[in-house]
Amino acid sequence: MRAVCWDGKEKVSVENVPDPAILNPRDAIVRVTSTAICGSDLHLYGGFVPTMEKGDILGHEFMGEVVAVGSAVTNLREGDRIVVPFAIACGNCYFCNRQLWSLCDNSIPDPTKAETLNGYATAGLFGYSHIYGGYAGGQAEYVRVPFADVGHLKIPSELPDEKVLFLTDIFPTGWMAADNCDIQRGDTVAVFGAGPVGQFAIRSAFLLGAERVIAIESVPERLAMASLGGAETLDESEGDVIERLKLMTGGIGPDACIDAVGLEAHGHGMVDWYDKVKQAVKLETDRPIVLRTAIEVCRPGGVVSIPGVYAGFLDKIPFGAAFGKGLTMRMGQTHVHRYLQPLLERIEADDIDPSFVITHRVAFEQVPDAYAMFQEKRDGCIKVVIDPSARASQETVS
Amino acid sequence: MANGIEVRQCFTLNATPGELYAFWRRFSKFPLFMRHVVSVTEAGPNRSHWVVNGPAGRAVEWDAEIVEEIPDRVIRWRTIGDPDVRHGGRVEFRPATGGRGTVADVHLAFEAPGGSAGANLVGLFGEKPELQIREDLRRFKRLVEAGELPTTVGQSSGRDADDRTEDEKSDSERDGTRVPVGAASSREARS
Repeated sequence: MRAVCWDGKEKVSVENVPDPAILNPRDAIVRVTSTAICGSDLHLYGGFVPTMEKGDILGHEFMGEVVAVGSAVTNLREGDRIVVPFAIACGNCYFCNRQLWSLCDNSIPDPTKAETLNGYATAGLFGYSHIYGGYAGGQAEYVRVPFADVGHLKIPSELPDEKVLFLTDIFPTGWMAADNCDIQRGDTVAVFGAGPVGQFAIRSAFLLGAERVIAIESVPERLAMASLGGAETLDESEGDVIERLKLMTGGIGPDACIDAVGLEAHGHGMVDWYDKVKQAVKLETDRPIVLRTAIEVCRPGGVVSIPGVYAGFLDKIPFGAAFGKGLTMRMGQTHVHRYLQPLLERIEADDIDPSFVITHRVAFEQVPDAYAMFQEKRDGCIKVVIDPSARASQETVS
Repeated sequence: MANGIEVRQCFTLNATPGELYAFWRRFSKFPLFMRHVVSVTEAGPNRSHWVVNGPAGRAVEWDAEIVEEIPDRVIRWRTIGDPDVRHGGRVEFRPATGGRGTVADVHLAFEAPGGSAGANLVGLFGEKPELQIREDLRRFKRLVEAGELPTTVGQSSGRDADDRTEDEKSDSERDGTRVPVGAASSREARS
């Protein structure tokens, strides 16, 4: 089969690799009908995530048709059309039982590496480095899905892929970010970063009852998309964000702030990596500023919600302000399984059509170029979807 | 035991003490989660015979007896006779607070070995016995909770067979020990 493989910093290639096989009784094999490049894949692409290996198959946003199931999978059969959450979860540990699926205890084959480096291990992820289990990802024609009996949502045939594909990650991630804000009637939510997750956070905040959403971003097409979603926009490149946000919120500050940017650099708890990364991404040193700004501008008693990925140690976080203002901070990888069914119902009810975020559709052959385009935010790129059945000779870039 | 090795590890499992006790009490199933154990067979009332993969693929064997047993709660055992690796162990299954499952608390004590027995211990448990035993206990937890052990051995990648990463190799390939066919395949199986 064809698969998108990581070959090193800023190098991905489309390779012919062996088809996946059932390895465990709770596995399924899925023929991928749609898959996407996630903003967090750019952390891998940029070489910021340790424990990637040349030849790793990328991708954690994918859906498709079941073509084989293991002996213990009784609730799926060949032909079922499913979306698969990006985190791999057993469904029966302390964490899964508390709906904390991305903290599953039982899905990383060798958690000692993560425990040694970080002091803890969480759930395995598709296509996201060996510290997260080293699982082959879904930017491929076929993918093996471990714990498939709990790691899926069946999709009614009338819904097209593009409406449901993002249930795998970015829609629930934006939704959980807003859900974590405890939105009350009349609330104003500030969303920092209007990439794909920020876009879903904006729309989710409105669906959860926010009266106003303010998007803070500097890329014009992202601001435009945020505006289409109903957000007021604040061009971050035009000067003092804190002062302007205070002016926009009657001097009190937003009731909740969502940091949908995170730290470009995945440090994974290792001080040496942190230092290397800090040097390597000099251009990105403003990224932690988002968290600082969110803490500084949030109104007293408000919520700072962090779907953006942080991994290492942060410098100069105004924790005194966070304490002094009695802020609540919520964060972490998304518990996708928890949101699958309720968000499918939102899609079916036409509350939201997640395909609004797609700017590019590509064939496998175009994926290496698409990674570069996405990284450089060229050509208005916000979200790239890969169609495994398409050929580059067909005109698929929209 | 002054110069011996003592190891204590515990995990909290999503099961009742009785379920864990029943799983553990079937000693013949130990190879499912104890990586170095080849077989455990009944050898009379409260006695069992152990075959374990030792250094350089050499089998190490011993007999053990149960010296204390509280159903659904405690099993304590020790080796009998004069084996290479003289040791004893105790497992306790305690209800966790607030119905949050069961704490499996394992305590092993190895007498100070000398001569070849010292080498055996290193071969059996590596440089860090507590790590080895913790991972055995983790496999026990995973079999109980998930019904299988997570694996990437045999998955697809853009690497040739020769370039596979450490986690994509089977245990026997990785540490060079020879694992009998039965033990290796049953390890991946649902119990």
